[in-house]
Amino acid sequence: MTFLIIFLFLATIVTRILPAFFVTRLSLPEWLVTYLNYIPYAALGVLIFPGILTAVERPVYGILGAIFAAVLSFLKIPLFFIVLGSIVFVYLIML
Amino acid sequence: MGDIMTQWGLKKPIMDGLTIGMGYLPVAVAFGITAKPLISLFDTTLMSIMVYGGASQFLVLQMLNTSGAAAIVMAVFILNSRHFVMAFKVNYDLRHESFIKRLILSSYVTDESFAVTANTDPPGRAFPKYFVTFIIAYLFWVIFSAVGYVAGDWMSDSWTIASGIALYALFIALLIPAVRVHYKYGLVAVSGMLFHGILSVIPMVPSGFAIIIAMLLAALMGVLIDRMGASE
Repeated sequence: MTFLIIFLFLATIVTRILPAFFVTRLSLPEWLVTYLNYIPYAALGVLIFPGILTAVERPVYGILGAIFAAVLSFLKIPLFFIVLGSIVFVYLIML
Repeated sequence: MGDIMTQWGLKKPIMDGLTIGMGYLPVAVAFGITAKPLISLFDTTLMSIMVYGGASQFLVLQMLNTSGAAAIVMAVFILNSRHFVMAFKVNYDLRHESFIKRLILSSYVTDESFAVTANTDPPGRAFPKYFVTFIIAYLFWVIFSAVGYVAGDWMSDSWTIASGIALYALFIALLIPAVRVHYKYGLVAVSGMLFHGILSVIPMVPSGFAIIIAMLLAALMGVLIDRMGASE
């Protein structure tokens, strides 16, 4: 098992650290910089859906929790309390 | 102490780290609980220290009894290779920092640590700030994996289940402020959701590939929206 974990470490670390070796040597064209700046938002979308449907017991709870988190964000509640508040909210609606 | 934190501008990075950590806590505890019947405490903790990837670690537990080592390593590689794209941006944003500092930060890139720091304004793009956020999140993951293994029963089942929303709430809370700035960020995110939704129902597409392809395509939508002049 420990050996397997070492191989898993290698498989995981290689993609994480690879960019560190060459990124600074590149001078990226304008469009690629623009593209790169959209990656976080693209990633957020990909990470939210469809995972949200299996986040908690039933898809509908996940969606309600997501709406609650979105409302808190619109109210400019600090990040920490949005996360905490959403857990409490989902706990309450599951009761 | 408080003065030093303020002086270095570390208050926000610490809060960000704690926020990710709080999202990680229930997931890490759940990982510990799931691992307990399968592997030792040492291996559980070691995996969290060395792999540091929630979904991939659950995948390992799931595959342990049915798949060979090579298949497990390959599946984890594919699932985690999305970090390449994220680490690429972290390294680009911090290209003024030394190689060794970027190397250290890169090894702690996760979906969450990337998402939280990705929108940092240029003045905030400094090694200490990223490092503080990244290391706090990492420590939560490692420590609570072990805690979950040893004492997983202190969290009631319904709390553990409800906590499943935590990381999604985090992602949504990161997305909404961007959408307030410009709706095009919302369009990019929604296209990411659609691409991922479509790719994940197609059989034979490994989930790791689905994530990367959806991410790369959705970001391309952003460039197209800019080209079409939606930003004006």
